[in-house]
Amino acid sequence: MQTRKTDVLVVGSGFGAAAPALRLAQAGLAVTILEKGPMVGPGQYRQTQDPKYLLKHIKGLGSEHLGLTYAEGLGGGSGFYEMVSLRAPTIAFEQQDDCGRRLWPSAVSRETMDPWYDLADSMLRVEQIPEDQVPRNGQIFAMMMARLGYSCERARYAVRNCLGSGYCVTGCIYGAKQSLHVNYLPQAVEAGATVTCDAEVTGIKALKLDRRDPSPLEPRYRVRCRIGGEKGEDVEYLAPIVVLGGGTVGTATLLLRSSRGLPELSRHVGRHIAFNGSVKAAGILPDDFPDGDMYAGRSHPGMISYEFLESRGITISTVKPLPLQMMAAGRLRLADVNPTPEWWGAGHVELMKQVRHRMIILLSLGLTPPAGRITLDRRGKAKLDVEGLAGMAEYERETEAVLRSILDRNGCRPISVESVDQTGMPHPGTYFSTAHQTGSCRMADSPDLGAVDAGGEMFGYPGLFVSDGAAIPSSLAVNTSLTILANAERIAAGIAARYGRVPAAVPGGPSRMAGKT
Amino acid sequence: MEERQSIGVLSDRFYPLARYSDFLASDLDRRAKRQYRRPFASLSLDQRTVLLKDALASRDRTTQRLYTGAVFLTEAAVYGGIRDDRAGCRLTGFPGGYQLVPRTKVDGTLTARLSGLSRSLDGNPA
Ligand SMILES: Cc1cc2nc3c(=O)[nH]c(=O)nc-3n(C[C@H](O)[C@H](O)[C@H](O)COP(=O)(O)OP(=O)(O)OC[C@H]3O[C@@H](n4cnc5c(N)ncnc54)[C@H](O)[C@@H]3O)c2cc1C
Ligand code: SF4
Repeated sequence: MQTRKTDVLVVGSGFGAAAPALRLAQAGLAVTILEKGPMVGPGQYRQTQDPKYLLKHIKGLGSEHLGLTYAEGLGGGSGFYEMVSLRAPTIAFEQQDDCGRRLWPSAVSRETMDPWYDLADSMLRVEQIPEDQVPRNGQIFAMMMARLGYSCERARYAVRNCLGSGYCVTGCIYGAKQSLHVNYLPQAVEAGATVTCDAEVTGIKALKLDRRDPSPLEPRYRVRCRIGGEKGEDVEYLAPIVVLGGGTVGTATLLLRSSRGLPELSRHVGRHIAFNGSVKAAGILPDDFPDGDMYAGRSHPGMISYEFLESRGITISTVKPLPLQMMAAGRLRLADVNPTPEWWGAGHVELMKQVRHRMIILLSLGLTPPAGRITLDRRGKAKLDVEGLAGMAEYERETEAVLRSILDRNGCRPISVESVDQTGMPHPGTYFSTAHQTGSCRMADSPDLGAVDAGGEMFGYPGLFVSDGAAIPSSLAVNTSLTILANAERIAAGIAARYGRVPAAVPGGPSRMAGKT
Repeated sequence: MEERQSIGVLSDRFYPLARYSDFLASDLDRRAKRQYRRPFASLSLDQRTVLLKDALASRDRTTQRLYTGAVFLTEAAVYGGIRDDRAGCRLTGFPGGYQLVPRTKVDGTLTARLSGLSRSLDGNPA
């Protein structure tokens, strides 16, 4: 097997990986980025509902009560996300566990994160959506909230010159989305980083160092990688610094698979997965509302309400799924018809005809506790479970009642949504699906509370960092990417301050915070 | 057009269901002959629906799962236009890919001042 050396080995190329890759390359370190998924970008994206394309890039890990969705490919989730780029609210950082301990490390709060959010905003060119670009469904949602006297905000997005094609979730063919392909990744390459796609990191082993006081850039880890898919070639890297940015699922899976090479691995790895408790409710608009359009305008409809954030820990927006997303999410039926209509066939067509212009779907994201857990089965495949479901069922019922009440009081006809698995079979009982999973290797003040410290470094493993969604210790009640990116910038600055060969120049960045957590 | 979308999807080897497409076809015929004494293909829409309903409610879990999967995939093929990126779905007005709606029809036309509803400075939560 070939052995290569690098200063920094970055696993993955999504939000959590891209910032350390860029900043550490700028700090004069040799950076190698290994991305498991294929090379994909604006030239390869398709505007399609073809599962052959979608399943190549969008992956899932599911259990009876929870489903996690994520992307695999150059740029990680950034290629396929809806570009919503919001800061997590102050109360998200202040959440506590059952024993009254803060979930986040004491040094990290909204206030200390704001400079990193500023940096992330400027790198992704995040802006509040202009009034005249809010898609129709977002405007209808705003009208609904206004009728009830509730507040509603124009959300913030990482996009320039959006043409409103409505296919953000299959990749932007127009280059309007400010995914990592147009900022962090090319800048990292320009600063000297190398990127290899179809390169899955399969194992990490801590090396025994000969000397008591090794130099900071002496290799500490042996990282194994398979390049070129299943029949590809195995390559080994020796590196003093390894940054894990494989995502909440990918990073935990890799670490659990590496437990032999990392014998002191934290018992928190794979645990405490937070999932933004997303709940949906759908309805048909009454006649006094204008037509919406489920298929035109950017994928996320532009508006979000923080009205219930303080009182219930939830934000509310509306969603605009493409047909396949909608069908994969659940069986739709008009709920005020007796007997209950079928979810398929001729009897279902009339409802499907109303989807485009007359259906509205509300979505809430909430500060639900970290309750998911990834373990490995006997063949080393990731498995997902949920701990403490009782509270979740109650949360789901109460949150759905809030959404339903908004629809009812606006005169909407109710639609029931029965969630289904990949084969179309209904999930029994409570079920949450999300693309906002965080926390499988959470940051904490001490090893008895989490897997990594506030600087992202694994307890007991100097030089091994987690900088992606896995490090984020809680639900956020808003979309996750900006917080993951801002936190990754913060962690990267700490690593650069410790190991960098030259001081990193962060344009407009929070230099006063470099090295601090 | 929608029929063209659905034809073939059940025997497309990309989907695990393809392994069972022969079974599904012969099982439907068997059910049709038992109930209506005619092959499935010659039945009316209502008669087909009755048979499918029975199969979906089957006590045999495997049969139920197979039929559920088949109906799910067929619906996805029709409504999603999954076999042709540009086809969309005429029934529901899903336009399919690579078609831009004029900007004026997309957004910005319903409410003049959305900012009046806002309590945040810049769209972020406090
Ligand atoms: C369809 C969709 C829409 C979304 N919309 C939004 C939105 O509008 N706003 C928002 O804030 N969030 C959104 N999200 C969520 C957001 O994309 C994720 O929170 C974010 O991408 C997570 O960042 P990450 O760095 O943790 O991991 P990812 O971005 O998932 O990146 C991880 C990368 O690591 C790679 N990898 C994993 N394991 C290995 C390994 N062993 N070796 C090498 N590489 C590996 C993966 O292939 C992947 O490319 C969306 C997600 C999806 C799927
Ligand atoms: S809606 Fe805008 S950002 Fe989304 S794919 Fe179309 S042009 Fe790109």
